[in-house]
Amino acid sequence: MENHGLAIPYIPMQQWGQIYDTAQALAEGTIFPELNKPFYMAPEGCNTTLPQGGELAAFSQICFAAADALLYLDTHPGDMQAREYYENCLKKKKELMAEADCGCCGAAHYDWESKPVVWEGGNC
Amino acid sequence: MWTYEQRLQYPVKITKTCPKTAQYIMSQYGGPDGEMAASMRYLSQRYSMPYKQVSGLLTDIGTEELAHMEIICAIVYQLTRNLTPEEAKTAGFDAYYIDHTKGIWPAAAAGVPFNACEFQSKGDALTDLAEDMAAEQKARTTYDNILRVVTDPEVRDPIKFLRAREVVHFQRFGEAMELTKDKMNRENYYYFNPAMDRF
Repeated sequence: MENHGLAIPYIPMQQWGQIYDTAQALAEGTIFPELNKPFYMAPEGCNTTLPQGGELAAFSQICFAAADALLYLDTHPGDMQAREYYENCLKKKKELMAEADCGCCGAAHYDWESKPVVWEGGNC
Repeated sequence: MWTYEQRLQYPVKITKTCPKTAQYIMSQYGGPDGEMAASMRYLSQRYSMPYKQVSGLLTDIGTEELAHMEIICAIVYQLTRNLTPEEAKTAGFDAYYIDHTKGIWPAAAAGVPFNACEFQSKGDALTDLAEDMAAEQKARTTYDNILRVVTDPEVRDPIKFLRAREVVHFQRFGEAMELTKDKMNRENYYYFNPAMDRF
């Protein structure tokens, strides 16, 4: 990478490395520990952790891991480790879809009546 | 072509009504550095982007931004769904309430309606990618500003998720800038515009 010219930005290409497990990845907002750069300021007396905590749904976790890996692959299409990780995510997503029977996974999409809409908390 | 999945990318479960917070968060729907501007920016820029790998990245990030727009709207909706007439008089939200009741409408925190002038599609690969990197930083700052003043953990939680995505997208657009530079004249990146000039 001899791209350090003047008058042009330079960003190092990320290398595939440590990956969070899918539950932590969704909670942090990325599968990559080295891209997790949180903001520490909070209003005084503010409880920064969610009281109920709670595990986020397995389907959301695996879809998010796949989505974050996809953006990495967009700029690193030849990275075999990333491809393997991404394909694994898609396989698990398919398995979960086969088990479930809800609108978010494709089945019974037309059935809007029997469940809350997504903005009311109707999440898979 | 797009299909709709009946789920939010990150869950939103807000139990306390707060029109004041809704007014802040709304800016990330229709404000100058909001998710709608982000999505429309990337999905508009991709057509003239001369390198398929980069236009592909714009497509995928532009699509994710649509999911973020939905998260923001869900936050605003849940903060106001049980609004009483008394609460509607909250300073800052009162004027919005008069025009939109509890409807979700894209405007900035200061009330300026969404406007395509908030983003650019310049038709120049380097210019557009520099705009995209700046856009991710501007959205990240807005989320920082929200996190500095909002105390409800049920609101802070999805906001922290959205903020984290800005940092990841910034890295990806930076990498797209590197991929673009690799295809250009290293002695002078400004020698020609690959979206316009053919050799």
